[in-house]
Amino acid sequence: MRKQLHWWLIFALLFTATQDYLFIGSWPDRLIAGMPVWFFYFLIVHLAFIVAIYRYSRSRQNQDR
Amino acid sequence: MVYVILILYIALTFLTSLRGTRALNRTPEGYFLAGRNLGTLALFFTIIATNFSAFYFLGFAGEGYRVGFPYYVVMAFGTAFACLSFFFIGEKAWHLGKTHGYITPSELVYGQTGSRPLRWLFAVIMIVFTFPYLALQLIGAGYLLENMTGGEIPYFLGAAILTLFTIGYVLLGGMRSVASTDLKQGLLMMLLMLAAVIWIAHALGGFTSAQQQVFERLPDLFRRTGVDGTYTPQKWFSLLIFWLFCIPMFPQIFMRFFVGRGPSQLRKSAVLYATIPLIISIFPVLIGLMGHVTFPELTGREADQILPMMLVEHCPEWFAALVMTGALAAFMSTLDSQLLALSTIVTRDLVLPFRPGTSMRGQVRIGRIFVVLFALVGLIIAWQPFDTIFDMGKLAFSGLAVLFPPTLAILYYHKIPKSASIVCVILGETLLLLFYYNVLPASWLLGFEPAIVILALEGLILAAPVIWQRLGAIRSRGHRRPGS
Repeated sequence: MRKQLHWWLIFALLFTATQDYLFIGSWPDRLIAGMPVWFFYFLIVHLAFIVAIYRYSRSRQNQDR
Repeated sequence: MVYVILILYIALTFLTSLRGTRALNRTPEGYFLAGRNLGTLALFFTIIATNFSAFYFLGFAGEGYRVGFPYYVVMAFGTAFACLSFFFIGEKAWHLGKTHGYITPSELVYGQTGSRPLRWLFAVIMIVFTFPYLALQLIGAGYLLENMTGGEIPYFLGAAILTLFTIGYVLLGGMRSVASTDLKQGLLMMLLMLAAVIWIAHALGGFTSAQQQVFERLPDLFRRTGVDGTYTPQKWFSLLIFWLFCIPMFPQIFMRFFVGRGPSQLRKSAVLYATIPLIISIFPVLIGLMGHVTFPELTGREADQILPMMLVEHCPEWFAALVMTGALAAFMSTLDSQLLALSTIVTRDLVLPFRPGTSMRGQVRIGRIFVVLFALVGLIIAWQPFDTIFDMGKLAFSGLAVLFPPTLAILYYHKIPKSASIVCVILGETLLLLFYYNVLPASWLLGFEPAIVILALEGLILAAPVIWQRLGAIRSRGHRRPGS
């Protein structure tokens, strides 16, 4: 249970940080490989979310066993 | 060439759906829920193919064209965020469904609360608010076939053809055939959209160059706020969390929580659901963005057709036809699931309580009659479409999201009175319509989407009786203490 909470906490922190960056931050106004720069920060946060979900799913499976 | 590809595709889908008829049990669980026996991949693809519809192909491309890149971010992350509902709504619903034999969401509501008004309220709202979304698939098909055939198949005839075809294979095999076609249609949709982005980018001188051209012309399309500052912080927040409340409340998605072999299949699907929208949501938005290079200054319904217009303009005829056939596949995989879900709700929640002696075969027969009726109602709505696909979808989605807080309360918090859930649903839907038709001023929403404000209000209404009871208990303990 403590391990699950740990992962959710990481996600919550990243998510909050993203909100802050998206609204207040000032990313450079240009494209990298055809994508806006701020998109890459978003991508990292999303990947962290996927890892958090994967870990959570695995821990639920283990609980069932 | 266009017609050959279309006919080949239709023939292949029919053959696939015949597998469903062979495996079909002549029972409501067999017809409506594929015998609650789908594996992870079949479950995931039937959810994703059901969820990604005309709204994905035409709506995403249209909004990508109108608002810009931020639309991808809010949709991809927001949709992926909905995977959380697989754990706290899906798993609970699966266990209850398996134990009590629930087939529809409103049956679950009745089974857990014993309230008939609440059951009917859920059933009616799910039906009413799914209709605009159902009609949206037919509108999308109409637009697409018209573009695909250069106007030889006019808009409404295209919508009618898709309706007839979908009715045909839903009647043949129920959920089993729907899930079987969803798996193939989902895969086809992803691969073809990826190929379309590559082809169009190549025709415009490469992806980076095409995006740079659009950026130099309209830099707002790439800013976090989008064109005209559409995405304020409140809008970002609203759209990021909106899908978490909305997607599980689509009756066609909620019923899929019942069809897995076990909770393990749902959990694995949740991980895939967190991942795949990130990849596939970007394709139509990129095509919409690149549309500014070829077709600048489109508005309203014209912008919704940017995807087929770009395909016709930049790709060879056979490839454009193939991608648009893939899009039609997506429309059908949503439409078939909606028809099946709505007909199941009517049969089990609105007809069966008044005809309790109906046999299993009789229920399947009634379900089939409603499949045809609902498809025809959708076609009537498609006769006069809304201004944009996005607007049409937003009303349908918000109406369903209003059901989320009472559903959560019914599943987990048994102390909350049924009357609070009923008040919540009626008040929520009324407020939504009042905001939608501008009877209530938008300034009351403080920049948030109406559904988000209504959801917060519903949370307060549901929590109020519990807080009141707790306060009462604390007060009574306080009164007893001096004398004890």
